[in-house]
Amino acid sequence: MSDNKIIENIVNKEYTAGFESKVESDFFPSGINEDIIRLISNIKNEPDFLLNFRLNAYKKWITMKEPSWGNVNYNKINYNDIIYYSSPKVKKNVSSLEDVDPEILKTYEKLGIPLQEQKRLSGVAVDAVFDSVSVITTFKDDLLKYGIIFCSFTEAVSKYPDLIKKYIGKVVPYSDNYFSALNSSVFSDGSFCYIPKDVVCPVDLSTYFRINASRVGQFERTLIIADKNSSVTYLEGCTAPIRDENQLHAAVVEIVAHDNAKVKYSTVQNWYPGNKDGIGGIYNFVTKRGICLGKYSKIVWNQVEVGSAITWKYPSIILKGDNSIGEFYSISVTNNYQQADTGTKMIHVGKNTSSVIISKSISAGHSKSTYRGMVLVLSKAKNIKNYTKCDSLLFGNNSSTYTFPIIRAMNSSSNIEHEAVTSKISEDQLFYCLQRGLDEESSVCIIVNGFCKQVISELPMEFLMEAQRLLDLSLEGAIG
Amino acid sequence: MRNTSFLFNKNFDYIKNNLLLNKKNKDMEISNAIKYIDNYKKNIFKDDLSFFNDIDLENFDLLEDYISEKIDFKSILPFDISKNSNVILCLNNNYYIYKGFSSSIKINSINIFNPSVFKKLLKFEEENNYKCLNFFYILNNIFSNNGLYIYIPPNFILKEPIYILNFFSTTKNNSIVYPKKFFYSDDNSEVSIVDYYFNKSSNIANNINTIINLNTYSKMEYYYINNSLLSAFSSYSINVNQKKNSIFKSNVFSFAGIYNKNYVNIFMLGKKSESSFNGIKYLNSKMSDYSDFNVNHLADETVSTCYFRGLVTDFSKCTFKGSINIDSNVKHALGELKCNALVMSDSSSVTLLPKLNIKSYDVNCMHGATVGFVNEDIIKYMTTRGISREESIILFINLFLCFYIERNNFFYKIVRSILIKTFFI
Amino acid sequence: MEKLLHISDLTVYIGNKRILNNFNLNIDYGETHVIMGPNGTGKSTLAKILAGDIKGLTISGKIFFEGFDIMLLKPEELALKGVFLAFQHPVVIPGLTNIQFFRSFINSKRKYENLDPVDIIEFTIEVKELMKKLKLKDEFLYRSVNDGFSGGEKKKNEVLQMLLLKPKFTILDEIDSGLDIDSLKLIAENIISLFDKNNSRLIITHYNRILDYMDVDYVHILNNGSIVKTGRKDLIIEIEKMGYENIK
Repeated sequence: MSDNKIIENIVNKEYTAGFESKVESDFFPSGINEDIIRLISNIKNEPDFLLNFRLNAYKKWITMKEPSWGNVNYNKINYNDIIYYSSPKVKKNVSSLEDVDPEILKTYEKLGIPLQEQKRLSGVAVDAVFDSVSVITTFKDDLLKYGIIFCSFTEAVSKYPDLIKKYIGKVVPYSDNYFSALNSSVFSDGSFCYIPKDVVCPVDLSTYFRINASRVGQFERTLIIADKNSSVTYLEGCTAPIRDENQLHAAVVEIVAHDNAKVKYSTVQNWYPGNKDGIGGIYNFVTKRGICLGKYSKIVWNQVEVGSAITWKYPSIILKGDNSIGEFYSISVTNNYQQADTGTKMIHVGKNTSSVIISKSISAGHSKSTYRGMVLVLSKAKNIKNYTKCDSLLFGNNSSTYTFPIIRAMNSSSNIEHEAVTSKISEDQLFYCLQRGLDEESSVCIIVNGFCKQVISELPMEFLMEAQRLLDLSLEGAIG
Repeated sequence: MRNTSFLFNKNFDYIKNNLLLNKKNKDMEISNAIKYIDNYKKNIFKDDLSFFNDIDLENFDLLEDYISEKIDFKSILPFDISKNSNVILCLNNNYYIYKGFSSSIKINSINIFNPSVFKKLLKFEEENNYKCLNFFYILNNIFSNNGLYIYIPPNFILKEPIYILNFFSTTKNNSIVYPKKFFYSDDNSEVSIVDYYFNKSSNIANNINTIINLNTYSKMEYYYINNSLLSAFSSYSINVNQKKNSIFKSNVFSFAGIYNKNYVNIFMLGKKSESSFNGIKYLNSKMSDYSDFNVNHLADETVSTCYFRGLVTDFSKCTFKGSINIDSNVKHALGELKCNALVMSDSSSVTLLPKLNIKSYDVNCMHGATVGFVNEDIIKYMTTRGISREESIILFINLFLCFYIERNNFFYKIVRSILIKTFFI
Repeated sequence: MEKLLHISDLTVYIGNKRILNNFNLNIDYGETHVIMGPNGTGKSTLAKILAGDIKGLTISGKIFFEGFDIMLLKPEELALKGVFLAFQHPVVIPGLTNIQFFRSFINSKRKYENLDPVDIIEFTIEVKELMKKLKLKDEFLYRSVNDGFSGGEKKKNEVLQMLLLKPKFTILDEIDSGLDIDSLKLIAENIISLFDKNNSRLIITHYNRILDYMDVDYVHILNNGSIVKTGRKDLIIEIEKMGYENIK
């Protein structure tokens, strides 16, 4: 069936049902099949190679089985209930902040988020006075003077198709896993970033500057390419709790670093974690991977994961170029009934490569936190070094924590060190703080901050203060 | 290339038939065995499949009851046995108490199918909730026709170790044997047991199951030494139930087997019990070794340590899987797991999977793992003192592998003498 | 007028073991008391109880601090009322720098007193001035609390915190153990600098080295769970001559 026919049918349906013309997303049928994928590609005006990419991914996806090895339990996802195309327009018709959940507003205040920003994040229609579009456009023009491309993925497909064609799916092939296959067939939008040779990006790029960043897509696709000798820091997410009707979020992030290039990717994630009894909440199943393609390249993953009902992700790095460096810093906080199965994979392929993994997890309430890490050294990866420290802190008697590292070395010149400690906050440490006049909550906060220090200190300045406040906030009620 | 799925199904059927025909098996064992077999069919225990695909159980005869050749075991043994030592000889899974065994020792070693012993075995499995069961354990339950039972009476302290010398040899093409050992230490007793294995033929598959029960306040030191030159397949399991205030120390030195699987499961059922495990592996040529160590803290104030040191060279492969499991509501548990590996050649590989499964917050657990080559600083230091590089490396390896053995312990001498023999072959 | 500290008929058990037996003590404002005694006689337990750590203890009797029943107060409430314990073995808090720690508890105190939080720069200058008095280098501020500190540095850290908080009642648990002569003198000088008629201190010591550098009002000997003798500074000479067991 041709695309035009499909649109015709839908439009006819609309009329027979008597709906008035509203936002596009209201009409898009749910479910996934080849026709819908063609429709998505058509609406976005994508070139053929991308349509083929999507279709191949879909064909692979239907042959795959949803993975069950994760240390997480969740209700079965009905893939036919999901609407796979999201319109760029405002989804929720919220006219003022009074219509927004007061809990969310309270959190915005505690995090010190300005009113205008609060409106934007809640999906309130932007005031005519506050024209964010012009601010954003001037910013992007400035970047272009350096040759830096930073725009939405959709825009990049139309303006820079060659770059997209060269790199998409090369770091995370669609066949990699169930969710990356799904994402590769129906991805909506995301970020695209290209830093040309010898350029150091003068500002930290953040999703705020993408138009409609507050409308977080369900199947985001991000591609960052750092050419020789370049460097960039990218910030994803924000500390405000984002509620979304869509439960499943399966994003894909690919990073490519050429010779001598450096990419730092920081994520602060505070998605809706579900209520105190574990009902609702977002499932965050992300595939993130970077490849240190060139010699002396470096990729750093930073994450502070505090939200989501279920977090299932392993930002990984393939250390292909000789002398490349991969680093992973992570704090994961789970409370109530949240579950996290997160960690990283460092795959050493090139010589003299090195990796550092620092993971701190805190579990409270009835939550479950799992660290899963892999350090794999291929036979030709001579003279490599790895240091891993993964520590867990437990609160209360109903939370549990699991540590499953895998260390596999296939040559005689690797130097690998791994350490992990699981404990609760010591009574002595707590009493020391109490005796100096700090109440229990403040004492726990500063001790936990000390516990996470190694990771927090690696975050970019913009996130540092927010992350600390977020950490304190998320521990509220965890004590006792 | 053998048709692996054919052998797979053939072996399952063989086991199932035998299981039902063997009238010695109780109902519980049958249902557990069938559950396990079904799980294997569903590929849940993939790791053991290579055994299943390399062996045709039907073509394996049970090992003959006698050893036809004369073994000068005194020259083989890496330690001295005096006339007064407590020695139990095991020849192809038949047990003989040596003449030199002091008659004043109140130890019973009887056929394992005595009904009162059998009752204790069933109780053992019940007490740890059948978590000691795995595929090889069940195979051993089904097919084992003989074993050794040692009972140490309450308040009895034995100062000299009991040596169990196990020798295996066959003239047949493919044999399989299922030795079973059951050691029961009653309250307040103290004993040390040395379990020494020497398999002379490469046509023998050895599936050993050692079951240890430590009653309150008892102490046991258990040494396992596998000094076979070559063996087709060897699987040994050590399963320990610990009651209140008991102390279990084990040293395992495995030095053989083209394909070796080891399972150690420690269940700390009683408060304030302590366990320590020291595993040493030295693998060369094409050896492949797989260890699965699990310590379960099921009571308050329990302490466990596990140290694993492995060295791989030539084309060998070593996998160490170790977990500290702490049940919810367990208070004041301390656990430490350290695995260190030396990789000496680029064709060998090592895989370490140290795990922590913690369900209680009142714990202090740590694990560590390292992989490396010899420490160059130490080697350089030794060479500046006139020791050749080769010798320095040998000294370093010795230091590395024997790190957790007390120097004045007889076990240290045993390990050293075996290592020396290897280096100079 | 209320005594600063009034302990009457204090009996403390840890499980079945009796640690303190009908212990009585009164400390007035401006006074310096010393408690000496052989090891294991309950000196550290007493220090813990006075700071509010009563976990695992069975207690009978009364302890009043400025008229407040200590048993009804949480440790942080006691601290905010002006009780300070210099720990015998200060604990390590990795990742938390000294300056962060100090600022946290100073702000907590200021909040209790309805004052605004300190200005960061002014506060850092103030702390560095105090550190000079204890001959501590600036970098000390940015190390994790007690992490990798020598014994002497740990004790100096306790005294530094004391100088910051200016407590009403200071309990010094073996402040002199493990110190060399110069550090001891320095610490004593700094403790004395806080003396005034409105605050008091209780020095718990095994040896009496620190007493060479300061005047004290009363010396008590704790043995078998209660005070067996009280005297002035000359009692120390008696102890040195005869040992604890022979004191009548």
